[in-house]
Amino acid sequence: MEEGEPDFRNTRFERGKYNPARSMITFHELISRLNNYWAEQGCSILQPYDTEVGAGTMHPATVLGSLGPEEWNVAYAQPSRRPADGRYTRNPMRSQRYYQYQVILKPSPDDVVDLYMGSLNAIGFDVKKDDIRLVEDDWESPSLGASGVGWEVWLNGTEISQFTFFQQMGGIECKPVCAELTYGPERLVLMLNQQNSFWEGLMWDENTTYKQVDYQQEMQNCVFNFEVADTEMLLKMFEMYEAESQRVIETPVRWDHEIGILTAAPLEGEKSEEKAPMPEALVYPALDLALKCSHIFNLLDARGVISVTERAAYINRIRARVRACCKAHLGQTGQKKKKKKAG
Amino acid sequence: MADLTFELGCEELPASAVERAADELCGHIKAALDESRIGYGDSQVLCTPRRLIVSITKIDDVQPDENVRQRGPSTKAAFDEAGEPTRALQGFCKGQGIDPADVETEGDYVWVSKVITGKPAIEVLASVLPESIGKVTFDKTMRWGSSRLRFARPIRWILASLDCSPVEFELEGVKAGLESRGHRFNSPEPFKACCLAELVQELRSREVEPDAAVRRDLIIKEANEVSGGKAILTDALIDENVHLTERPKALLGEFPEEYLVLPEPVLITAMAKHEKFFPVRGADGKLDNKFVSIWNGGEEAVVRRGNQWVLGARFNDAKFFYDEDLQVSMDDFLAKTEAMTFQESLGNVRKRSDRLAALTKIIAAQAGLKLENEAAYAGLYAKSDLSSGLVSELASLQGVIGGEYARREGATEASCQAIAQQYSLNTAPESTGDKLGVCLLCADQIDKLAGYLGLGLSPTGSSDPFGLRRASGLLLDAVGSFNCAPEGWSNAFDQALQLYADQGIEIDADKARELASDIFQQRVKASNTDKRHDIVEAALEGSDLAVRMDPKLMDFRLSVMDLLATNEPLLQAASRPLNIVDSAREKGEAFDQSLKDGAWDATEGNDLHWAAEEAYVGMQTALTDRSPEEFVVALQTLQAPIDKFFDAVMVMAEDSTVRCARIGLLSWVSRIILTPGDLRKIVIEG
Repeated sequence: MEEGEPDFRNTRFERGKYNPARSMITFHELISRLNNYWAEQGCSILQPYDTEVGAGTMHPATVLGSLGPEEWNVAYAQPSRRPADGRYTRNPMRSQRYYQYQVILKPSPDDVVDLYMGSLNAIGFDVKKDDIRLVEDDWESPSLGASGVGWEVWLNGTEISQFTFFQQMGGIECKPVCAELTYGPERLVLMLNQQNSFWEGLMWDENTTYKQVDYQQEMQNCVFNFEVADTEMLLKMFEMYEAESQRVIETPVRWDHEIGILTAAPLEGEKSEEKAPMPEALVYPALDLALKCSHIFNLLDARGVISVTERAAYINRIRARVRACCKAHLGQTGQKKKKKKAG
Repeated sequence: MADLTFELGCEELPASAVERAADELCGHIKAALDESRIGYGDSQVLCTPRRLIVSITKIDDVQPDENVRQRGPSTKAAFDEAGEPTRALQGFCKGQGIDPADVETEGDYVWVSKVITGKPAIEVLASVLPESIGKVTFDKTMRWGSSRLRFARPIRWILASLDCSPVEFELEGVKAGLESRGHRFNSPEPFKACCLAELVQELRSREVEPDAAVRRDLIIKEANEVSGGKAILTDALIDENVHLTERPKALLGEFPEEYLVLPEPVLITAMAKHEKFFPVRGADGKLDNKFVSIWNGGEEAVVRRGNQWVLGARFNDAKFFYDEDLQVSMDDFLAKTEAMTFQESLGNVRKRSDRLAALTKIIAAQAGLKLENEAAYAGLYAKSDLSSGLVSELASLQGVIGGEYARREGATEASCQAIAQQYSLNTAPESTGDKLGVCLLCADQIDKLAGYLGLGLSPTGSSDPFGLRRASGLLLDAVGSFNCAPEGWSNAFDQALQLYADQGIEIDADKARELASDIFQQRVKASNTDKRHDIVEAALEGSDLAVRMDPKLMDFRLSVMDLLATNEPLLQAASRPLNIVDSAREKGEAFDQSLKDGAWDATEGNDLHWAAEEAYVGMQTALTDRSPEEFVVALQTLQAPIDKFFDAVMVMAEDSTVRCARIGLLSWVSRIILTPGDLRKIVIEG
């Protein structure tokens, strides 16, 4: 923002405890405006997932939530790790760990674009004053076996969101199709404030800077990712997590209806007639392990120890694990539906 | 007669698909009308990223009636012994909606003639329009919500008016009607329109210019106005902006002058490729610190500030790395490529650089360039910029950045140009730098092919993970711009294999040659799909890697075969020695190739011998001149001596010495005939 110019942006959309007298929006305020807006639209506001993911898409709320026929409307912020994007904080707007704000609307509503535009107004833009474009961008995540069709959203030339209609997840056709909206909250705050760096002036809230929260973490992780991480060990860990993910998803489990729990303990005696038609599976633990594989792969990739020839093979292995989880998950939800109908 | 006004409203379609989709939609509707025998007048197509508009005038009100004759059951089955209609006939008549008394008998069957009354056009259109929408093709389609239809982006509204009457249909929950919408942000409220003129007028008053041609003119006019005619208006970027906007306006923005120190390609890439802005060039030929942005909505001051912010951020990013790179020499960049894997079994990029230096030198010499040092420099430092900060951020500028950095260190202009151009083939190189760039590109591809194929990693089916087919295609295109000795390219390939061996990198050279020969054979076939299959086969027969890597030589062989295909007597004559030599070889006959006159005990043999000597000289000259016509003329001189020889001489003579000499003579003649391929593969038509 040019000096001396009155700041008109933040006076229009007051929400929550935000103090419109202050001229700058904080990171916290942006997330809470998005939370409030999407909650008002009927989304459940979830919390970040607790294992390393490369993008908000890898949160089980999206990987598994995008599958199956049920309605599913959620939103959440998700710290995302991309070791290769680390720049030792020297690129003012790129980090190996940053935040994504993710919305999943299933099925994608007819007015999904309007709803999204409403969110821009809610966070402090004015879609009538800014030049907003939907620029073709088809998205694909080979390691998730996922692909979608959609746009990059440009606001005055800056890409502020990815807007995707999921067509496939885990190699399985999405029916119905969900809309995935992904925002880059740091960049949005910088744009609204006309600032230029994660590390200068970006406020987490009124008392704390983004730098105080994330700088040390960013710097140290760059050193770890690029210099210190034991790649030999990581290669072994990849194999171990992969094998464990496969073992876990293939481990038979069953409902013990007497106690009302899921268990891997085999049935006593010959009560095998209790076996459900659709097998239960430990989808979430197996997916966690697959996500570990994905993160370790990203670390190895950032180190340049994975060659072009090996790369595709590693990605295929991760995809196979994720796909097994997606298939098992669909099997389970199918079973629940059947039960409901029977009851 | 009535006019159809049809608008398909979508969420923003891909810019590259808009125009073609609108044309296709119109084509499908017209084809369906033709099929329905409904006449119409003119058609017009308009489009924006959010709408495909088709207007067709003077559509017939009603489909013409149609006479149909339908066959029923056989006469035997239709009537019982009393001549009364059976159940079978009654059933048939019921289905056809006629009385059994109205059927006719012809042959062994009963028939019914009916007039199907033509439907009103508006009813026909109600099924034609949705079907036509479903037929539009796109590179990529999608589903949305619970839809089953696939389209490029979700469909949100449909206006379908036949002279103000709505054509009633529903598609994926969207009801066709008479309503349209204006600009997404400035005029989103629905409005009614009945005819094209009204729709266009209303759209224009709602900040939408539906005519792509008008938007194009507007963009050019405004961009010139705001920049004082200095904006660099490339066609591709204009077109992109035409289909990214419904209401284009141009604004002039600025960026801090300090960024002008960045290499021009960096500035242009950030503006044109990443932001779709037009760069602005000053009178001095250098870039100005200005840009023209085409905007679709908002307030100009806000948009300009946003545009300047994002461009500033991009330049700031680039400048940071550029400044860092300034501290690093080409040798340091080169040294850092030691940590970069080229391919796990083929070593690192640093080692590759040594190979490229040697190979570029070889190829430059072969191409007749006396630039030994320049070639070695370009090869050695070709991949150095991969370790620079700027290329790590702007990967699309690899090579270009290397060229800039080499120039900064005072490298010769030819070397700098070669490094800069190594990824983009210049098929008509002019300057020595251009030419050296093509040599470097060839060296790059040959080294890659030799290495990967030496590991047996050839493409299979549709899978070509290392881009080797692309490499071979690129190489053939590049090779076309050189005049070079026939063996040149396969020699270069052998040298590339040797360079790997010299570095102690284990690859299977024989395997590499074999796989390379296969790949190049596929390329020859793929680039000659317009030619007759048998002619391509004939020209490929007996060709080795050297021939397949040389498109000019390959073209020569193809042309010779083409000419021979129309010359049946010559084909037949020339085939005779080939066939008899093959069968002699099968029988294990000995060949005496000393070619002593008289040894074959027939004057026709002497005649053939001397005619072939003469023809050989002519054919070699034709080959060197790459003149297929002269080659065939020379070959033609053999026709009579061959025919005379075979008419007069029994090749398989009793006397083994004579037999061997005759076969030896024919074998020698055969080798000459086989120079451009095996003409026996040519299929004689008719």
